[in-house]
Amino acid sequence: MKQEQKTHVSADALIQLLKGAKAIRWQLALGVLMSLVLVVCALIIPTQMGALVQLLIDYFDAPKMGASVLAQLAPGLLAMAGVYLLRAAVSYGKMQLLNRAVSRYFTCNLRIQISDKIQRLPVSFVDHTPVGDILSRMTEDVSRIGNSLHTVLDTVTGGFLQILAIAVVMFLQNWQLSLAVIAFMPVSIWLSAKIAGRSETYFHQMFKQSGELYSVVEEAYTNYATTKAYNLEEHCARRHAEINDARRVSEAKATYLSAIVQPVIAASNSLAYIAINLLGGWLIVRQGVPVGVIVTLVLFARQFSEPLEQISNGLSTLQQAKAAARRVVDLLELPEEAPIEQDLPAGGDGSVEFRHVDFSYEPDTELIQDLNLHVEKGQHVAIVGPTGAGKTTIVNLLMRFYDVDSGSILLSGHDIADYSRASTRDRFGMVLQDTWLFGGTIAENIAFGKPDATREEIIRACDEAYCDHFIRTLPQGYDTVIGSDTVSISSGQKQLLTIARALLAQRELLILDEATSNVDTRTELLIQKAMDRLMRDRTCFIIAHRLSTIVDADLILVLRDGRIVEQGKHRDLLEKKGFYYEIYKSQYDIA
Amino acid sequence: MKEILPYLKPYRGRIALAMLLVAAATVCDLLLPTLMNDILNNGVRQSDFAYIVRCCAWMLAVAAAGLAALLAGRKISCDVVAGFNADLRTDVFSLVNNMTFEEFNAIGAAALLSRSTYDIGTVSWVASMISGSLITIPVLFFGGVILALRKDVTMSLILLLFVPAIFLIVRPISKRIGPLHETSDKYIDIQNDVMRERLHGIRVIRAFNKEASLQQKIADATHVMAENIINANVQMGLLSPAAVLLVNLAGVAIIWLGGWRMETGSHAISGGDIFAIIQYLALVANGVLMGGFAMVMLPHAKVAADRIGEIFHATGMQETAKGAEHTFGGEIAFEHVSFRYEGASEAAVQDVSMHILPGQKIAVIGGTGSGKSTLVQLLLSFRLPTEGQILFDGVSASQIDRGVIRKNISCVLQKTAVYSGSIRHNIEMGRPGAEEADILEAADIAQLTPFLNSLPEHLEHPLQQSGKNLSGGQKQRLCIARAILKDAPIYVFDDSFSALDFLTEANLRRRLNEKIQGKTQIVITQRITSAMNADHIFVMDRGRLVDHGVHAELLSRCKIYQEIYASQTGGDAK
Repeated sequence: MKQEQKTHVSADALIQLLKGAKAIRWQLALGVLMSLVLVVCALIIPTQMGALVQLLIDYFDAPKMGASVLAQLAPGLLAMAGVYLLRAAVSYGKMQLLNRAVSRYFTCNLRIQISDKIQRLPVSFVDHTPVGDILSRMTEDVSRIGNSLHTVLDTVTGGFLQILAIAVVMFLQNWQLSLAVIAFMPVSIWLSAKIAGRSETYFHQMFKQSGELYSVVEEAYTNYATTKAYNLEEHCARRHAEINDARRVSEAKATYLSAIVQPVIAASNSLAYIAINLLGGWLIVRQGVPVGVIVTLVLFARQFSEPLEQISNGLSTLQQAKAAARRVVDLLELPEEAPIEQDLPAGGDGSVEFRHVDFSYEPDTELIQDLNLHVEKGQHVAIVGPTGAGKTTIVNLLMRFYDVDSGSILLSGHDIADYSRASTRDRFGMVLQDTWLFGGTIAENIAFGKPDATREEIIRACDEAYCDHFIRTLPQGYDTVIGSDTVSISSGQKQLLTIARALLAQRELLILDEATSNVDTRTELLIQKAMDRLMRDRTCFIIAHRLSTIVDADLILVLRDGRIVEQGKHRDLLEKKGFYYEIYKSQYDIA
Repeated sequence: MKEILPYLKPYRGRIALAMLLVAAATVCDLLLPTLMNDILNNGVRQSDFAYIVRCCAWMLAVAAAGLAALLAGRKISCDVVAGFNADLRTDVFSLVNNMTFEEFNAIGAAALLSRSTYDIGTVSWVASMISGSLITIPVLFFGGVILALRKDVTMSLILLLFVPAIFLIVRPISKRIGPLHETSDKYIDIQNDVMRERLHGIRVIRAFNKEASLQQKIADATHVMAENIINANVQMGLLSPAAVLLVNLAGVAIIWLGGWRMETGSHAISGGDIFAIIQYLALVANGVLMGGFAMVMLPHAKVAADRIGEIFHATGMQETAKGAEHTFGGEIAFEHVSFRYEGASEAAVQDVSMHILPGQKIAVIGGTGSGKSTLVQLLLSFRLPTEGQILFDGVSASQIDRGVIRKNISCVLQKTAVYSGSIRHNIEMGRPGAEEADILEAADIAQLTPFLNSLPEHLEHPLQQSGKNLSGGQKQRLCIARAILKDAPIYVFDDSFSALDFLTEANLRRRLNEKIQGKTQIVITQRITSAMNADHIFVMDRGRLVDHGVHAELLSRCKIYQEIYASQTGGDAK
């Protein structure tokens, strides 16, 4: 029951996607028209051929003196050649049309649509969805829909029409023989649908096992060193072999079942072929039906198998298309962030205020409750606390990556929730621990927040961030492309680049993460100096690790388990002998 | 290619049988029009209905035999392809697992992954496509030609002409398709890269309001990709209408030729024969067309096969001495050990000597690129020293089996390794079959208990691949628990506390020290607080051991140690 409902829903998804394909409806209509032309061609050809062969047979049996058989053949032959040419041209045109319209729409536009959708989704969605999942929807699922829709459209417009038309014309030629041919049709459709359905089950199993196998291999390769250190190679090999064996069995079954669809249809066709011969022979011998009719019907019977195979193919791919369409539609229909047009007014006193802010990631686990704080322009706020205590939550709220549940955050007295996200973000510069550089030149990366920056400005920013020197040692200097394997930039150098980026962007507010893991001491000193320069005269929120930053901060927020447990100045907090005191002791008085 | 082909060898008997069966089925296919021809020529002309019935009975028998042969042939070939596929997967997987670290890193985990999965998939997919048609093509072709020759020689020549004509179409197509696929593959990579970049960097991108420009990048890449894929498809799509047109025009030519010969009276041929030849023509065309498609697909398979082939060139780990299994005492000595990565101009580790006594707590401190992680790799025999030697209890590591060394060292590597499965499964990997109480104790020492208690499934809590649902600190603690459970005479922690806050680290280290009291403990770190309480501290810089001693000594005399200390305590906490 439940299963049934599910398929029902996915059929809707496919229809939804097709409705979205309005832009290409004329092309689709043209495709149907072309299919009609092809069907007509397919009808004319056997009839013509039958008539011509009849002519030859008659002439061979009783050559009429003086009458030229070639003269009689010529118009028919010419007509046939014409029809063949037309058919080739139209089927080539249809192939072009389907590829250029349908494939373009589904492989290209749908992908861009998904990519576009991501812009308008909240950060929380991206945080909670594996990157691979989104990517696989955008690539695999979309191309699966494109491929199978191609087949399905071909089947619908071509296959069924063709079968129908052939059946009608055959009946007109000779109803007894046609009945014999058509009698086999439901049997072969039923059989092939049955087989395709069963192969689907095994294919599904095989895809699942392939996925598991993929995970085992991925895991083994990403954990390569640990696997060896713990002598787990055999353990991995055993798991791999287990799944691999199961997969082999499913693959053999699935491919076999799908491989016999065609022979089964061909065999039922052969039966029809034999039936025509038997019945036809009887009709010719006993009833005097002309041989040409038999020839025509044999050719028709042969033509039957092609649309039949197409339809049975289409039936099985339709299942895949449905499942894939569901995944794509699910993504496209996710609720988006509500757009706000109005921008935050410029100017103001540059203060930041949290007023009775409540926030949690998940409804039943409260994180921030009734947070109040007021930061004047130019003040430094240090956020401290153990790992996983939710220091980034403050960043998420300030930058409006997430929205507060209740209460408000004010910038120069304006509630940021009333204005566009972009205008809030425009006020902030950010240097995070997770140094994010995109594939492009160094100059482009630095100018990320100020695309119209001149080369001089870029160089000045880099100079201030102590990275001008090392950039100049790179093969193409500022035009060196990041991301190619030939250039290696250490994590410390990356951090300097992001500082230069923030310096160039010249934002009045700043969010900084001081944590610098995997950096050698010399680079770390440079980073500190650059950060100090960046922080000067700016309102800063600092995820603090350095003692000096914390001691000098105008306000310290102490976080524990996602909550702000203490706030105040260094001296006051020490005197409280609370959690801050504990952290301070463990970190700096460990000896 | 040549590395892959031997994998078909064990199946050669079955492949031959399958080919024979498919060939038989194809012959049956060819016989049907021949029998029909007999009906037309003999039965109908002589009005001999009994003859017609006999022929039809024959046809039925032939069709049944053909179906049976085909079904059996397909069964065998599907089994063979699935088997070939599975064998290849198993071997590639074990080859990769036996690679040296240099070989592994040279190709890279991501590329090896796609070779072990997609590329094998491509090869076996093409294998299955070709295995289906490999024998059918020549049988259809030669069968059709021979049968046609029996009817009429000159007319059959038209059939033969068909071959070069088709290949004239196929060759340029397959030539053009290759580069198109290559380009579209490249842009798929770009599209995926930018998309991945965008998803990972979403905060920075949104902070700078750059979503629109990246969206444009993706759209551009997608357009180029689609363009190339569509062009490739269009090229492929040309093959079928063109070939069909050729067959049909040949059919027209045959009829015309038949009429002409009847009229001139020389070599007259019956209408039934002409019809038979037209049917043979369809068979021959079918065979040639299949060959054409195979030719178009082959380049794709060759690329994949060559990529897999690279894995077969790996020499793998050389065997070390097969020492007997035994438990180490915990004494370790590095004697003038140097190591240089292949192709590197400078050694990663240069002339390092250290002597570690059983039960000592050792720290190795240094910045990035100081060579301290390379020491771990050498210790675990992941790599062999280019000079000098490492001794365990005075025995050179080269005299001991690699597996035995690893059994005696329990380590947490810099890169945390989480396997999909439950938390229990992940910890238990340290000592398979460990008691519940031991697992819980290890978890408790690793400061995992509060985390475990917050989970309804406790130890059975499922972990996603690569531990995506864990924070960095949780992953490290999980790996530490695994190492604690392993129970070995030597413990190595390579930058294993970096994601822990100082309080958690302090608690963890205290419990850890109690638990592994008396065992050798090596802590590799960049953090001064992780090192300062060690019995002995080794300071590494640029691959060299610059100094060693206890905290107070180093603080008073070692410049690099002083620098690290100053930078990490904020410079003003001295």
